[in-house]
Amino acid sequence: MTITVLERMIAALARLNAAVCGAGRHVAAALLAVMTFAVLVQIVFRYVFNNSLSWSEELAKVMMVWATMLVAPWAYRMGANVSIDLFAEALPARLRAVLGFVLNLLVVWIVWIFLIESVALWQRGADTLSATLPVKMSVFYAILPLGFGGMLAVGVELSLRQIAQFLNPARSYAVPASHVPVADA
Amino acid sequence: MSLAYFWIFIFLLASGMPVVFALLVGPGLSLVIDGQEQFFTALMSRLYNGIDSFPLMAVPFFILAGEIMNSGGITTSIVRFSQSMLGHLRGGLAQVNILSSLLLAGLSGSAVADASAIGKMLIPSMAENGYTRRFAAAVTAAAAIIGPIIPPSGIMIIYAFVMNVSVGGLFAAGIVPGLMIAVGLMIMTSYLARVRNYPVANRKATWGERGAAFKGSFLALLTPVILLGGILVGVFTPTEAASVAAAYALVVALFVLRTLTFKQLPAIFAAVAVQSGVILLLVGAGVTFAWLVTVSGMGESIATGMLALTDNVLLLLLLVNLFLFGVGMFLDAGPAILILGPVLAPVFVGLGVDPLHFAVVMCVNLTVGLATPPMGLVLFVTSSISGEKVETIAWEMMPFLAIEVVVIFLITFFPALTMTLPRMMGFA
Repeated sequence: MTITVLERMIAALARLNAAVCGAGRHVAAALLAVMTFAVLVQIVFRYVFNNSLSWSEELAKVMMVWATMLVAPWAYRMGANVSIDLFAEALPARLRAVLGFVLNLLVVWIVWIFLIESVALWQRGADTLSATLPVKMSVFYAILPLGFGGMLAVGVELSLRQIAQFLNPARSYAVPASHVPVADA
Repeated sequence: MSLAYFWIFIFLLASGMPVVFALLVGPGLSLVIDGQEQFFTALMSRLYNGIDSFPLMAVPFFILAGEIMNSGGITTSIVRFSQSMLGHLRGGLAQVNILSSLLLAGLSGSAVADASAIGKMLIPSMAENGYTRRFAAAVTAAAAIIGPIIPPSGIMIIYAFVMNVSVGGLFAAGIVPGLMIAVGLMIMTSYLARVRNYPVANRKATWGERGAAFKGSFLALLTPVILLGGILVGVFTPTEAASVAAAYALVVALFVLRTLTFKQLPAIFAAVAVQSGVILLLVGAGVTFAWLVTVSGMGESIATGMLALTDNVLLLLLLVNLFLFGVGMFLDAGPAILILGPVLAPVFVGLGVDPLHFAVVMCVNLTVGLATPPMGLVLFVTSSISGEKVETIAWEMMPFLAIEVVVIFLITFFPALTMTLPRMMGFA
C-alpha cells in the first residue's frame, strides 16, 4: 500500500525533475555558446577595432555561473559528481543503503541552507547595479535559487527512491541512465 | 573556529558522498556544531565568487576545444603523423601512442580525454598487431597523463586560480617535465620491445609520406603554437587563448577538414556544459572550503605539525610527495588540488620554495595519480576501452609508473628543470 503511494510520488517527481534537468542542460549548452562568442567578440574589438569592450567579460562570467547552476541539478540526479565509492562498496548491502540514505539527507540539508542563503543574496542584489551591464545584480543572482531549488527537488526524489528501495529490494529504483557521456579533468 | 569540519569532511568523503557536497556539508555541519550559523551567508558568497571568475573560464573553453578536436577528426590526423614518424620501430605502435599523446597534450588539457581519444584508435590496432591488450592499455594510460602536464592544462588552471600563481608561468613550468616523461616512456618502451620481442608493424615511411602526414596534421599542430605563443608573448590572457583555440578548432573541423557538421554542435555543447558544470561547481565548493581552512587557522597548525617533524626542506618535499602520491591513489587531481593546495603550498613557500616550483611538483604528482589504482580515472577509461581489468592494467603499467615517479623526484630536487623556462619568459 505505502509502496504504491511512494512509487507514484517518485514517478511524478521523476517526470518533473527529468524535464527540468534536461531543459537546464540544454539552456546551459546555449549559454556556453554565448559565452564563447562574447569572449571572441572582446578579442576582435580589442585587436581589430582597437576598442576594449567593457561589458563582454562580465557577460561571459554570468553565462558561466548560470550554465554551472543550470547543470548542477542534472549532474546531481545522474550521479555525475565524482565520489570515492571504494570503502562504501566494501560494506554489507543493507548498511550501505542506510549510509547512502543518511549521506543524501545531509546533501538535501546543505542544499536547503544554500537555497535560503541564495534567496537572501538575490534580495540584496536588488539594491546593487551591475558594474558594466545595465541590470541589477539580482538578475545575475536569480539563477542561484533556481539551481538550488532544482537540486532540492532532485534530492527529495533520490531520498524517496532510497526509501522505496529499502522497502522493496526486489525492484530497482535507480534513476534511469542517461545517454550523455560523463567525463572530467 | 574548530577544526571539526576537516574530520567531518574526511569521514563524508570516505563514506562515498560526492566530493562537491562533502566540501560544503563539512563546513556547514561544523558551523552548526560551533553555533556559528551566521557564517552561512559567507559560505554562499564564497561559492558564487568561486565560480564567477574570468581566469577560470579557460576550463570550459579548453574542454570545448578538446571535444571539437576529438569529434572533428583532428586526433586522427595526429596519430597518422606519429605513425609516419615512428611506426617502423620495434614496438612502433607503442611509440606512436606515446608521441600522439605528447602532440595531443599541446592541444588538450585533460588526461581522460586524451586516454579516450587515443585509446579508442590505438588499443584495438595494437591488439590486432600482436601486442597484449593489457600492454596497449597500460601504454595509453601512462602516456595520457602527459596531457595535463604539457600546457594547456585544466589542472594547472585550477591550481593557478585557487593559489593565485601565474597560469602562463605554470604552463611554462610544465613543458620540461612533460617532455621528460615522454622521453622516459619511449626509452622504457624501446627496452621492453626488445626484451619482449614486440612486432614491427610498418615499413619505414619515406620522407615524402612523412611530409604528407605532416601536412595533414599541420593545422592541428599549429594550435599549441597559437595558444602558447599567444599566452607567453602576452597577446592573449589564458582565457582568451582558450576561446581562440576552441574557435580555431571549430573553424578547422567545420570548414577545412569538413569532419564536423553543424548538426553535431548542440550535442558537443551539451557534453561540454555537463563536464565544465561539474568541475566549476567543484571549484566553487573548493573555494568555500579553502576559505574555512584559512580562517580556522588550519594552515598554521599543519605547518607547525610538519615543521615539528623536521625543518629540512628537502626531507619535507620528499614526505609531501609521498603523501600526495598516496592521496592521488584515492582522489582526482582537481579535488585534491582544491583541498590540499591552500593547506600545503603556504608551508613550503614559507620555507623558501618558489610558489611556481611547488605548484608544478604538486600538479605533476597528482596528475600521475590519475593513473594509479584503486581510483584512477585514466585507468577506468583505458579499462573500459580495452576490456582488461583495472588491476591488470595497473600491474602492467609498473615500469612506466616507475619512470613517472623518477621524473617527479627529479623535478622536486632539481628546481632548475622546471623553473628555467618560466624565468626566461619573465614569469618568475
